[in-house]
Amino acid sequence: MLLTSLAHGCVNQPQSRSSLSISDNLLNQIKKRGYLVVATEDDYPPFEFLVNGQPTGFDHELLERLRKVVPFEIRQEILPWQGILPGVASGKYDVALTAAGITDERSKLLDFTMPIAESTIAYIKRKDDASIKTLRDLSGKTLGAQQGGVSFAAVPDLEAKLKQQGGALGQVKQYRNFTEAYQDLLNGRLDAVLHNIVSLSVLVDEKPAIFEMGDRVSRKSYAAWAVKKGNQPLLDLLNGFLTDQREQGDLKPLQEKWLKISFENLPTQPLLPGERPIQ
Amino acid sequence: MQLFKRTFKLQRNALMRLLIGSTTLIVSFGAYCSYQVVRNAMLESLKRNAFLEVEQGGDDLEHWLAALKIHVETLANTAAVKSMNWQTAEPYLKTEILRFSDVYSIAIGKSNGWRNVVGGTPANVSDRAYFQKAMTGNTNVSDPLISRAAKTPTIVVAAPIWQTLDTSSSPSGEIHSLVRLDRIAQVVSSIKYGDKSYAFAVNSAGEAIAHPNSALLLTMGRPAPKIVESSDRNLAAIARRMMDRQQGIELVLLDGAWKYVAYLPLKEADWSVALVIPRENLESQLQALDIIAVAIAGLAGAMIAVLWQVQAIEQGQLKKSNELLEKRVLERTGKLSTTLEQLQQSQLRLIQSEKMSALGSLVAGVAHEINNPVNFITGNITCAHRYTQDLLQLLQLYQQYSPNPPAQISDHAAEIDVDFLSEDLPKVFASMRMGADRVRQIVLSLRNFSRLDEAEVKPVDIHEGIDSTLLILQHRFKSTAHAEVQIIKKYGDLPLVECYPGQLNQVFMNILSNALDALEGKDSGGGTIQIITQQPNPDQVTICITDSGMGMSEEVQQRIFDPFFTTKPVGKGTGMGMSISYQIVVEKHQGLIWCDSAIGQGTTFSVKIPVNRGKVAED
Repeated sequence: MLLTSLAHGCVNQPQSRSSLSISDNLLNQIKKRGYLVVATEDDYPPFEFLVNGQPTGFDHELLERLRKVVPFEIRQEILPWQGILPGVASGKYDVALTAAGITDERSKLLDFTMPIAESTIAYIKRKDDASIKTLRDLSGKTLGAQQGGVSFAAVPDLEAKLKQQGGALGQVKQYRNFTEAYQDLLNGRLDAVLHNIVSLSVLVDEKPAIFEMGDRVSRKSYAAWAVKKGNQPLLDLLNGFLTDQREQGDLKPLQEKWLKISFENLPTQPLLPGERPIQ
Repeated sequence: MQLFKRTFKLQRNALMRLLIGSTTLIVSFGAYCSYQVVRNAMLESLKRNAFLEVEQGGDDLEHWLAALKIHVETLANTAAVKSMNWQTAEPYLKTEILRFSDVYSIAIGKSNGWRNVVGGTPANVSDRAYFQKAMTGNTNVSDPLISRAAKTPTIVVAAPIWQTLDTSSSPSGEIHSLVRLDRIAQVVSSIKYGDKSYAFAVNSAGEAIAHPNSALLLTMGRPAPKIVESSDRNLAAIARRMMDRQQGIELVLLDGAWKYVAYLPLKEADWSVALVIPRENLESQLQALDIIAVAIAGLAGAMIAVLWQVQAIEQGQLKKSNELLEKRVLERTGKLSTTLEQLQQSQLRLIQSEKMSALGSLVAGVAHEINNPVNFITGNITCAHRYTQDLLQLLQLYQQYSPNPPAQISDHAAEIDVDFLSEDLPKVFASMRMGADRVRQIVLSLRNFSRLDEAEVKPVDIHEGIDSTLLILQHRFKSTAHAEVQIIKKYGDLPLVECYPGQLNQVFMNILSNALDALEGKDSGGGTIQIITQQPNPDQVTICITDSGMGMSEEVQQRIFDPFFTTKPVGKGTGMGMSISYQIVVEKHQGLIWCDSAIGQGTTFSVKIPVNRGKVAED
């Protein structure tokens, strides 16, 4: 009796600080174990990365904010990307607190929160290349994309868009990593590099003297946090937190600080590429 | 002796307390000193750690700056750069910008101050300090400035370009890379020491080049405010020392809280970096020590309290046992003095009884000695009376038958008054008989009283004893100064009582002579003494002797049976009379003796004794 009233006291206090509501069931589960485990990536700037061994980045800062409004401990596991989503799907971690692209395949195993950023594919060009001013100008140009990556998967979208505008897709070169692609862009072997809009924004912000940002080339797609399929209480908690961040206007400065781009009007539901709702 | 003991005890207690108190003080002081020493040592070590942290951060910053410098110097030595041909150099520089993550642009300046920059338009930078330093042959890191190419807060790392290996000649130009100011902030902000700690860096002018508070940094709109001119005097003082390239760690009051500030100058640039650590971050590690110290202090306190308590209890017990001892001593002393008193009493009683016994023997002897001659007198007085009667009858016959005797006879007869003689002689004899009787009576009473021959218990007529006593005291009834003392006897019908008659007579004697004294003490002198004997039940007899004397007060009544208690003048009474009476009645006869009296109303002594001693003994 005393314990439950104490527990209520613990729950009520943080709730009174923010509008964050937590289901009793979830809270009891977490309290039973003592903490919530979130998985973040070790090297995914600007979302999550390490500086001098200290985790930092967009998601890390959001995590710090989340810690302040929940009445329980949150443990952070930092691991390579490959281990994160399987770990969450298997229940090893509660949340994939990383910018995971919302895809059809992943949505079968995981439930996504509302998007934290766009993961739409865009392009960059050399700063001094005056021949490319709009998307239409990519027609016939040599493009670089990651081998087997999301950027390469966006090529059909681009092709469709170019066709729509009366252009044609030029040569598309595939690269193991983007460093080589950027190098080739710089020395003229490529005219544009396709990559997700956030990575490109950050790059252009860092190297404004050599690169320039281009338009989105693919359908809009989004990145969000993920929980194990069916963990609705936790999903509600995270969505509540993200909604607060958005409504209080805290998310936009954070995007500008880390992502070097801000996304107006992110959907409040996780949407599959092409803004399709998850069935 | 007792006083000495008590003083000694008090002194010992004081000494004990002093000893405990001083030991406690010394131990506490020692513990406190040790605690302070250990705490200071730990704090020093923690401060050293904190300083190491800022050193580590400084090192990182130094390495970072050194890498930037080396990068620029390396570029300055490449053929593309040395050519001073922008068309040749630009593509190379672009790849270098891409390769070197912190650099956002690179520029090459000619000796006339005009420079080309990647992603920007040519401009003259001859006014820039970094340019001037580079042109004097020094690789240098600039203070924050607003880049003319990117219009953003920047630091510039500039190196001279020599065409030859002779670095003493004047450079043909300079190359500089542009690094965003916030890059430094990123590196500096990674220096941390726990929650709420932060690092900042200032340049040689005392301006912040990295600070979590962006208001203190250079922006497009305004120059950076100087921290040395900050309104926070403590912060300004720290900044001053940083500007003077000092290093150290100190506790200062910043933003209303005590914080440690560790600061250290850099070598690669004319900067100094500082780490601000909330006091608790550093000293939280001393908490365990503090807790232990508090716990030990608590324990010591408890121990002292217990010691005091134990001592107090011991003292209490000591006091108690002392009191017990003293009480026992007093009890023993009381018993001893009672025993001594009893001893003295019995000694006195012995003397008295010896005296009485001697007196009794004397009286008995005298009575016996007198008894015989008196018997001669009483035995012969009858014969003498008869003889004289016979002689008187003969004389009458002579007078009858010879009425005229010779003159000589008639003369002699006239001379001796024969008529009177014959008339008086029987009276003389009667008187003599009465006197002899009285002597016999007295002798009998004396014998009765002393009863030397009757030391054994024997059945006695109590009345006989009382009468004998009264007879012995007869002279006092008559010698009373003013008036007669009237004896009223109300004798009941008493059986013979088994007793020590002599001793019982002594009791009556004492009571009666006291009664006479009481009557004599009265103003009128005379009075009555009433003697009532009764047998209230078949086993006991009571004898009540009441006088109409002056009576006794309560106090006197209470002490009447005490030995040596007397109200009589010195020499008249021994104070033993009633005490002996009490012993005789109560102890020898298992009886009771008590008195009722009131001042001015007389006194009644009552004696109750058993008729049959054996019977009482059986009770």
